[in-house]
Order: sequence, then structure tokens, then C-alpha cells
Amino acid sequence: MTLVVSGLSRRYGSEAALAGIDMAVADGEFLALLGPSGAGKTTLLRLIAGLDRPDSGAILINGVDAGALAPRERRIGFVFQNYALFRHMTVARNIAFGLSVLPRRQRPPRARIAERVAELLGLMQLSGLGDRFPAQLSGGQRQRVALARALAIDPQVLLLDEPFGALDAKVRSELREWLRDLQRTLGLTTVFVTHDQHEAFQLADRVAILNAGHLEQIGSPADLRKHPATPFVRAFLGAADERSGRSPSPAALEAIPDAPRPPAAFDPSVFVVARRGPTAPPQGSGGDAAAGRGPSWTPSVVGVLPDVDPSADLPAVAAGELWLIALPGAGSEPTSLERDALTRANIIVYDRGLADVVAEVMPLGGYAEPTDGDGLARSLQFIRDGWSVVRLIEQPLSDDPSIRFGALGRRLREAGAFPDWRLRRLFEKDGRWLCSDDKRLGNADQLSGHSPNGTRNTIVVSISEGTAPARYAVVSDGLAG
Amino acid sequence: MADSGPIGARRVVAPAALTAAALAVVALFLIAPAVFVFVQAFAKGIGVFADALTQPETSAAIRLTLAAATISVAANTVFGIAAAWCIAKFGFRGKSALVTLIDLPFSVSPVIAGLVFVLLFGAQGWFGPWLAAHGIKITFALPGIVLATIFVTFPFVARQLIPLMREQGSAEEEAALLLGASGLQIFFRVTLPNIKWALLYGVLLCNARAMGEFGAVSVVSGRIRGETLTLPLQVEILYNEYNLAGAFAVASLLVLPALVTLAVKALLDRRHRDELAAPAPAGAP
Repeated sequence: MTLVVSGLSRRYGSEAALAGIDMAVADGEFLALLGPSGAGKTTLLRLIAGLDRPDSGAILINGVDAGALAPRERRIGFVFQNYALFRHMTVARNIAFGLSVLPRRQRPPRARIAERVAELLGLMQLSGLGDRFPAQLSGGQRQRVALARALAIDPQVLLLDEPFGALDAKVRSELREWLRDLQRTLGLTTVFVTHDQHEAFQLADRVAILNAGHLEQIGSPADLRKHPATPFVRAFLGAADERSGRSPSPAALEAIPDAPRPPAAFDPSVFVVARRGPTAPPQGSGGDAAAGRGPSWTPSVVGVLPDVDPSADLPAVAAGELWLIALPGAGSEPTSLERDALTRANIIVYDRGLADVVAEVMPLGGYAEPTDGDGLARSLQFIRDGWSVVRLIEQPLSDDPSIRFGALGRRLREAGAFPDWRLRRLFEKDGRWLCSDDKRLGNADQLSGHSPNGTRNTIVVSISEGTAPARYAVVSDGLAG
Repeated sequence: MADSGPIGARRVVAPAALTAAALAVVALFLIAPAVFVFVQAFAKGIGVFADALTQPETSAAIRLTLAAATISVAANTVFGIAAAWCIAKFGFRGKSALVTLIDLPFSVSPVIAGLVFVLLFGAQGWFGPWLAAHGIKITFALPGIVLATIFVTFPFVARQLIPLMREQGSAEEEAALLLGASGLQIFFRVTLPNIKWALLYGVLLCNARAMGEFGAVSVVSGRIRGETLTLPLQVEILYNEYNLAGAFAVASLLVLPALVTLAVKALLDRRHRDELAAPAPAGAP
């Protein structure tokens, strides 16, 4: 089924959410809508589904004007960002919903519906979970139930709104590949919204890049990389531009008013292009193979943050210091001090839901990796090799900073075993960063006893052996494939 | 940990004192009166109690109260769901005005509300002549009592539903819509099941208040014995006539719906706790 959008506009008050979008999605195509927050991605998806009405423009689904059809007549499979499963129904009844609300004449007999539900449960690898309630499922399982429910009505088009947004990194990468395979098998025309270009490029046949309600460019991932049509696209894709070996020039970043702004601490004039590698994965490949993903991990350096410029409030990062910064939990904004510290961190630990903030602070970073022991070990190996690694570790962490750091200390000890490293705890008080005494890494979990209540903490690990990373590298693992 | 001693002691003493004070207040102001009503009702024996309840005037009052409560609870359930639906799921002009209006009966004295109805529909009221010409009787009759009761109990259902429906958002309804459900199917299969416990509780509260309403009803009813006296009015009249046993016997009838409401609420709370305590997703750390 084809999907054509022409001249689609939607304003909210005085703000144009969409300003004249034209695009066509071919039969069986997998299209990603990519762009920063507020670009109009979700608005476009809701207009196609009929959950919102355009001010002007037309939507043709398989040649039929969708504007003349009520949303319930469009036969659109929609997976909501938070799944919107019917919480009072079992998984099986959720999936059967679309069939059970059909008018009596079109409704399949009950046995046939049950058959279809069982079939979908099998397809989604959810067999045996039909009698559970949504609250009893994990995030990944809920997402698959939402997908099964959308597929049950045999939709003409499948629309996915940030389908992996609410999942942790490990589940996300598994589901990604699974979803791509499923989409290819079913041959279903699919549009999905994401702000993660990594995800978009990995999954989609073509990627449409939106910015401030405009369609900047639409094309295959290779096309977009080779021939970015606008300065925005060039800047936006800069971080992933590993093949050309070029990074966005500071001038390009400066020239675009709507481009994600680097923070104050990030001075584009000291932006350095550096490439090193490819480096063989130190310990990671074995673990990856065991996880069933094959030894596909080929690290490559895709960008470099500038040298650290010590400021009055933030202690200078000494040669060979490793910074761990734990951000507050989802929902609370980091303070300006924390944002500042972010730009200096080697390892950033953040909770689910803060990806946007981190990506904004570090426009050239922003990758999440599964935090199995291997992930950390790989980073540590990079540090041993003289790199300072900016890694985003996404894991469900406790809100209590002391618990966070206790667990991290253990992880570091197990993974790296740098017995001479020292941990210093930084904490914010009255708008200033204060330092605790040095602690041996081996005692990291004892730090929990010393965390003042209610302060957000930062740990500096100083490496007394004194490797001296001059720059911070952004390491990404997924673009090779 | 050295300083945990005194803090620990204070932590035990202060809550215990507060709890005791709260319990004392509850016992004095809530439990004692309820018990007292039943004690007084049966003070002169079960025979007098039964006698008081089987008086024709009393049974007429029971019938009238049940009729008025049934109609107004039904009406307010429909109004309440409709209002909560509009307020929670849509944005429109005058939304905050509507929310304020729903709360109006809480802030207006019921007696004034009753007076307004008399001034509107009474013999000397705005619509009085027209109503009289068409032979419609509103004040001093069941319709007036129902109107007054509806006004006073209007907020109960809506107030229960609005926060819950706001919190739930409309994602599930949107999902149902895209899956092909009609408006009625969405309401009965998605919206209603999600709000049923809050709705039931709202209806119970509304009912308890509808049966017990005194001020507004006393103004519009005209207090015609055996005709327009509801249970609370009947209690007052019996009391004024020094028929204490009768007054408390009838009053005990009014305490019953309150007790039922309380019991059902306790039950619902427990049920909700069970739902909340559903097994956490596997694999959660």
C-alpha cells in the first residue's frame, strides 16, 4: 500500500507544527521520520492516522483520499510511544480488540479470532502470555503486544511513534533487528518516528529528516550521508559521518539558527578532527557472540570533543582522570552545573528518559550502549589505550545517588580492576562543586555511607598510573553494519 | 549512626501521639454520633422502633426519598461522566469556567439553592404563571425536590472522575479509535472499565448525599406531611414533636447508606491495592 502526503500543514496557535510536507512512501517501504524534538514528526504521524486534522493538504492511502475517511475507517496500525495498551484487558483481549469491534456481519467467529490471536502471539514470541495483564509484562513484551494489536486488523499502513523510546538499551537493540526482519517478512508499508539517527539509519529503507515543520531531505541513508541537501542535514548527520571522515565544520554549526546549539562550554573553535582505529574490540567480541548478535562490533571514532577548559567552579580534570557523572532520574532537569560537567565527563551515567538532554548537551555524542560487563570493559580498554571515552551508559539506576555509585564502584572493580585508581566524590552545594577526600576504587561501595542526603553526586576517578588522554572521543559501535 | 538514638525516639513518639489524637477526634465526632443514633433508636425497645418505621407518613417519606435519590443519582451519573469526559479529554474555551461551575454547589449554601428554585419555579416565580397555566407542579412536589437534590449533589461524580480521567489521558481511546471502535464501543469497552471503581464510589457518595440532603429540599418541598417530606425532613419534624424514639429510628435508616458507602469504599481500596500489587515485570532489577 502506498502512502502519499502532499502540502500537509498544521498550525497550533501561531506556531506552525508542519509547513507544507510533501512525500511519498512506496509499497512495502520502511521509512523513518527523523529530526530533533519539536520538528513535527509525531504531528505528521497523527495526521496520517487521522488523530488530528490538517489545516491544508491531502493524505492518500493507496490512492484513496484519507481526509474523507474517519480514523476508524483508515485501517491504520498505530503503535503509540507508551503503547496505550488497554490496561483492564488481558494480552489476548488487547490483541483481539480490533477484530471484536467489527460490525457483526464482518466480525469473524469467535474461534477464528482466537486462532488469529494465537497466531500473532506466536509471531511476536509471546506465546503463553495471552492471559497476562499489561502491568505484568516487561517493556519489550508490552511493545510487542502493541504491535500485535496493531497488526491484528490487517492494516494498510503501520505507524510507529518512537517505538523503542521507552525501552532500555539492550532490549532496544534486540527489538530493532527483530522489527526490521518482521517488517520485511510482512512487506508492510511502515513509517516510524525517531529522534535517534543511529536507529533510523540502521532500520529504514529511506529516512526523512524534519526540522521545524519542514521536510529537509528524504533519501536512503547512503544518499543522505553522501549528499546532504541542506546545511541542517549536514550538521545533524555530522556525528554519524564516519565514512567521509569529515566532521561538520564549526562554520556550518554557526550558520544554522535552528541547529542544536552546542553548550557554552563547547567551543567550536577548538573542535578537532581525529580518527584512530579501527581498533580491534579488546574483550567484547566473545560476549557479543554469546548474546547472539555475532562479533559485529567494530569500534570507530566518530568525533572528538575539545580539550577541557577548567573553570572557576568546576575542578580541573587532571591528566588521566576519569569522570563519572550521574544525572538525576527521568523527569528532573539537570542543573546548569550538571550540564557543564556533562561536557567534561568521560563516562556519563544517565537514566532512561534523559537521552534528549544528553544529546542536546553533547550534540556530537549521544549513543547509548547496552551496559553489560563487556560494554564497560570495552570502554576501559579504550582508556588504557590512551583514549578518554565518552560513553552513555543507560541502565535502570536507583534514584539514590549512593546506591548508584556503590553499584558502579563494584562494576568498575570487576570490569577493569584498576586497583590504583582513586575515586573522589564531587557534590553540588550552594551552586558550587565540592570535593571529598580521595578514596580507593576498591572501597567504592563504601561511598554510600558518605553521601549527604539530597545532593547530586559526581565521582571523579583519578588514574594514578597517569595515562593522559588529551581529548575525549565519542565511541559508537553500531554504524559499521 | 551515633545520633540515631534521640531521633529514633522522637520518630516513634511523635507519630504515636498524632495517631492517638486523630483517633480521638474520629471517635468523638464520627463514631460516637453514629452509635448514639442507633442507641436512641432502640432505646424504647424494638417494638417502638418498628412502629415508628411502619407509620404511613414514614413509609411515604422513604418512598419519596428513594425516588428522588434514584432520579438525581442517575441524572448526576450521566452529567458527571459527560462533564468529566469533556474536561479531562478535550481542550476548549471556558473549560476552567466549567470546572468552577461544577464546584459551585459546594460553595453555595443549599438553602439558597432551594430558594433559587422557589424563585424560579414557585407560584410567584419567573416561570410560575406559565407552569401553573400548563398544570405543571414543580415546587412543593417531587420535581422540585429532584431538581434541588440534583443541584446539591452535582459535583460528586464529576469530582471523582476528573482527576482519574486526566491522569489516564486519552491514548487508550485513540488506540481503540484507530482499531476501528465506534464512539459507543470506545466508551463501554475502554473508558468505562478504566473508571468503573471511581465511578462506583462517586455514585455511592452522591447517593448518600442525595438521601441526606436537608437544606435545599426543605425549602422547595413545602413540608406537606405524607406527601413532600423526605427522610431528613421527617426526622426533623418528629424531633420537633418530641418523638425522640421515632426521630432516631428514622435517622438510623439514613445512617445505613452511609455505612454501606463506607464499607464499599474500604472494599474498593483493598481491591485497588491488589491491582497495584500485581507482579512486577520480570527482569526488573
